[in-house]
Amino acid sequence: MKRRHFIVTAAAAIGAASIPTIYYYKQGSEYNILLAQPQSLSLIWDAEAIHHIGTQYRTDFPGENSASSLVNLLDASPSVLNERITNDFKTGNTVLVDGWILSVTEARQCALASTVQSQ
Amino acid sequence: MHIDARDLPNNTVIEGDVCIVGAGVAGISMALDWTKTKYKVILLESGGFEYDDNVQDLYKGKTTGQKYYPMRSNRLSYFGGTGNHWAGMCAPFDEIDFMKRDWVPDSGWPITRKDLDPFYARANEKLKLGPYQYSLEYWQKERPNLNPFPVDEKIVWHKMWQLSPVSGWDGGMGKAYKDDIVKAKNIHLYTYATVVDIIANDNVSNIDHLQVKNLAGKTYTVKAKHFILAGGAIQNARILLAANSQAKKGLGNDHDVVGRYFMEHLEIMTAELWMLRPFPTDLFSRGSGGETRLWCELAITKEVQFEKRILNGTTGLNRLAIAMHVPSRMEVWQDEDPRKSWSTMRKNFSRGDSIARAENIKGAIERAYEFQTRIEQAPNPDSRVTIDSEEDELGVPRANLHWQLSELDKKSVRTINLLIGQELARAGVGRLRLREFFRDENDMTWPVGTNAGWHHMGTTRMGTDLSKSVVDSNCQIHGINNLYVAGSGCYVTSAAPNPTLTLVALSLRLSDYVKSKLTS
Repeated sequence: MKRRHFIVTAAAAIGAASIPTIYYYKQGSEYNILLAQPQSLSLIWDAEAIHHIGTQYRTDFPGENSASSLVNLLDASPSVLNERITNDFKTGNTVLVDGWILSVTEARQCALASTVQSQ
Repeated sequence: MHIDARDLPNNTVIEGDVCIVGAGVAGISMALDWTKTKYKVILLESGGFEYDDNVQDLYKGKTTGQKYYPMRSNRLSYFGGTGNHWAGMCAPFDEIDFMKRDWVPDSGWPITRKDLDPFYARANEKLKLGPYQYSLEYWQKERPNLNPFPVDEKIVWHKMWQLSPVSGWDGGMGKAYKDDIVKAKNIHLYTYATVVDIIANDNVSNIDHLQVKNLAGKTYTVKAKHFILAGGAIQNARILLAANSQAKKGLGNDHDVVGRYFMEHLEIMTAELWMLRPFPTDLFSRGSGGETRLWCELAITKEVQFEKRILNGTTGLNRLAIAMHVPSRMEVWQDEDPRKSWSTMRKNFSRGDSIARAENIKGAIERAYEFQTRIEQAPNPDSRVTIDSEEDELGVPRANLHWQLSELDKKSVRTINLLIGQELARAGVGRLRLREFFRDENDMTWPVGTNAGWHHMGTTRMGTDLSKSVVDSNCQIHGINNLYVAGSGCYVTSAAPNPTLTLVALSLRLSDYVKSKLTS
């Protein structure tokens, strides 16, 4: 992943976080689009970087290489994801993707985002 | 007083109560400690008051194993010693550093942190530091902007450093204390006086005299009641190994330990910290304002080190926009001339800064930092100093260095970064990205450019087991009543902080011990 992908302005990050709740339908799965928007990571990465990490995650974990499986694994309302991510880091439920130490939850969010963008 | 040994008649016999070999940080600290005593102290320095290419040639040698700085340029041979290149960073070792840890082979000092505390306080004075205070809590009361990261202190803590004003950048110990040493009537500083042999009595239980030479072709004899080697961990080992006319394997080397367990501090760029939001603090800025210059790094608690079975290490933060343009010091410090290597390194620091300014990149990178991990190296008997068949201009076998790292070293660097990365993410500070060579937990190799701190430690280690140590808990060489080693060569393990403060503390402790022997 190139360093320029992380150079994102605060304004863009706020914009990403304020997208209204909509539901997305893909491959038979209906889910809240906010599931595919890792809030904290969008403060340091742009959409391209999130897509790159998500694609890498799906390559590393082929069993999770579909929107439906990722939605099932995320299995939560977007409002509780931040808490779950914090807990992931607390309990060591982390994964190394392209060198990044990520919460498994936020890595799955990236993966889900990459399925959307690759459609 | 100062005597240029080149001006002395050949075969002069010099006599005193105590002879200190080497006027570097350890030797000068000890000599200063004797200025108000009735004893005559002979302080021998191989070089003069300024750098001398011919004297520096005596340090030539070979390196094998993990790539290292050239032997000729990784130390300095003139008044002030290698401290003339010292960055000035000071922090005491932690309690755990002195402990026996069953996952760290050959760890465990015969003394504790508490034993050393009074000497750390005195060392602080010698190095012209602030109060002997190294807790974040203390300094937060002094300065309001030292905001720590909101980490769980059961896992990660903030370790404080003080930056000495007698660092190499400011002229070093040589500049700071030249006048004090030269004016002291009972301190007899001989420059251009290089020890080439140590002569003991018949059963090698007592040192009788030293043989000293210089490049002017003169030889002298130095007699004293006590002899203290303070020439640095490489040179001390070299002279002990070379003193093999009476003890076949060298002095203090009946068990083949002299020169072994050479340790360095790994100082490696290991990761990038990308902060989610700006975090207002002066804590990680070098200097941090005020009269005492401070520095802070993130460290792993003793309890977690025990749980994870890792070495002790810390991570410091440098602005990524600059650090990404600065090559490894191991790559740039490869000139045999220490002045050229020093100059190249400084130019590279400036270059990184200039490029960052010119690029003026905006966005998240403005709050991104390079993690420099500073970590002890596990004691390793195969990491060692030996002597060569080739001799220097004064007839002393040259020193060779084989630097060797271990799997525990690499596992520890990786684990420390993972732990801190997880904790900073949990606390909402940011996300950490590991450098490529730390990502595969099964990869135990080290990159060629792996950086070290020019910190030479462990070649004459302290201990009670004669088969695994060279000096006792007082830094006296086993079996020889009046021969001692001062400095970081006595370290059993190397801890994370730079060695200078601890080596001064240990030298002052030795100084007290020799005084007590003289008075009794």
